[in-house]
Amino acid sequence: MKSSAVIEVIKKPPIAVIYLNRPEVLNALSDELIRSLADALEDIDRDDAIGATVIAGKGRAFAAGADIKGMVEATEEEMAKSDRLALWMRLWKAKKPVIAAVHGFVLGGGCEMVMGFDIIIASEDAEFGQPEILIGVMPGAGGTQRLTRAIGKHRAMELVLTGRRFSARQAYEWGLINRVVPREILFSEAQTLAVEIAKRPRVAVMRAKEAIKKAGDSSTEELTFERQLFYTLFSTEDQKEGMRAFLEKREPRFKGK
Amino acid sequence: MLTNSEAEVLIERKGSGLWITLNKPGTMNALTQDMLAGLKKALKSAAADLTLRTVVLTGRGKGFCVGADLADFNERAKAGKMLGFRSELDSNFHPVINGLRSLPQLVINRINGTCAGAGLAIGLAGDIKYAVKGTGFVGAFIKVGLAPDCGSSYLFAKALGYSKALELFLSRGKVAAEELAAFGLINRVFETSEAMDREIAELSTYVETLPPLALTLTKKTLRLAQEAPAFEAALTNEAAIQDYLGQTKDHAEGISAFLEKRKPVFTGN
Repeated sequence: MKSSAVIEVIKKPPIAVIYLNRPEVLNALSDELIRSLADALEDIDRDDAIGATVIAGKGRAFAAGADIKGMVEATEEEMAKSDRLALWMRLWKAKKPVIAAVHGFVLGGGCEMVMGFDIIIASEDAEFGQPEILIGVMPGAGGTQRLTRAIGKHRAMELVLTGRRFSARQAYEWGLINRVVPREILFSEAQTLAVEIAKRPRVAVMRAKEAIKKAGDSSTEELTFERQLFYTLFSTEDQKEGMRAFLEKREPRFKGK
Repeated sequence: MLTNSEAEVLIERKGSGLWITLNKPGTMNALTQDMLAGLKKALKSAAADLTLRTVVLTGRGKGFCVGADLADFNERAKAGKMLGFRSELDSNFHPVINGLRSLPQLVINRINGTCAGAGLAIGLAGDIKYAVKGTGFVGAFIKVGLAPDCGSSYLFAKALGYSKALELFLSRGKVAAEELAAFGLINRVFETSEAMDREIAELSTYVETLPPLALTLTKKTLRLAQEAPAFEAALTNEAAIQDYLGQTKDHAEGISAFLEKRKPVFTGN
């Protein structure tokens, strides 16, 4: 598997490391990036030399969210037709374990992406959040579903409805992530864990992952439900205003319609 | 031409050390918006400079830092530019406190004079804290109708215990550096600032011989052992309380009285 420009894939059997590699835009999650990442994970599933994957971000952040530019002027129909959820679902269908090693911003789609992976290790400087409400929409890639499962309805409600960020330590306290480590050891911690898992009997690891996901991950039906609600917001004035204001770096003026 | 931030926060490289000096001696280095912005910027660039081994934080004149500049606050409030205390703390003060606490270098607080209010937290946020004999520490918050913030509630309750910390925050008078040293909040108290500076020079030279990564991670592992995640919870709680108190009449009265140099009349509202 070659690395494309937007991601970098390094195979170090028995593990693979994938870097999100758009540091100039804080690894904003473009369709191209998601597609490349899905391709890479599917390739890893087919590669007998690899037993687990670490995903990390290059630059100052893991991922600051979706590419707003690509959706600001889209209509509800266009959004529904583009069916980006199907693309994202490919990420979460990886059969081998995926460990996210996150630092800096882990916001919006960045947070949703890692919540769909299997293990999350964060550096102490990581900041999580689902800030979609601040630009007139809501999470559309599992943010309302997986966050709620992980930290409970009432906390998820406060975070999603205010768009407030929360720290790595808070995320740990609430059970969203596995642990918080100093930035200096983030990568080696994730790598050590990946190697340990990669040495375990491969088929048993994959079956166990599947079973745990059945018990604790959101179903396709739940994710699709959220996604439909997300699409409806693209027929509101607040979505247009919120995203335009965000791109123009000004305060939005919401009307409630 | 220096910007206000550059004039109010002096940055000076001394060998492998960076000296950051709060430079508004006329107001005992009370924190203005510009000063906080200058500090934030200085800390950010220090964090990225791997040739730096120590960061020394000090103040010019008789005070180290007496907390928020109430005149600056008042002016901004009148101009409708105050964001409410929660936002003020989150966007202006907490980045400075967290910036100091997370620097990879050894942070030496050179406490040259009085610390009060948020200045208590900034004065004691570093790794090694030195002060000159007789230096006073004052709670101050309560005098303008506010409660401790910037992590000072955590810092003092933890080190001094609840009752002693409460005494400090009741602000009846100053607590001396010697007393804080007895509780381990200050590393050493010096007879003169010259003696303090000789020790800072020696310590800085010693730090140059240490492995940088091991130093950084020694700091981090001690901080984690001691306080995670209680410090963050303290910042959140403080900001919520301050946000509420910041909207009370007594706070407004406290500020007016301070600026008009008269005794405040508090009503409990």
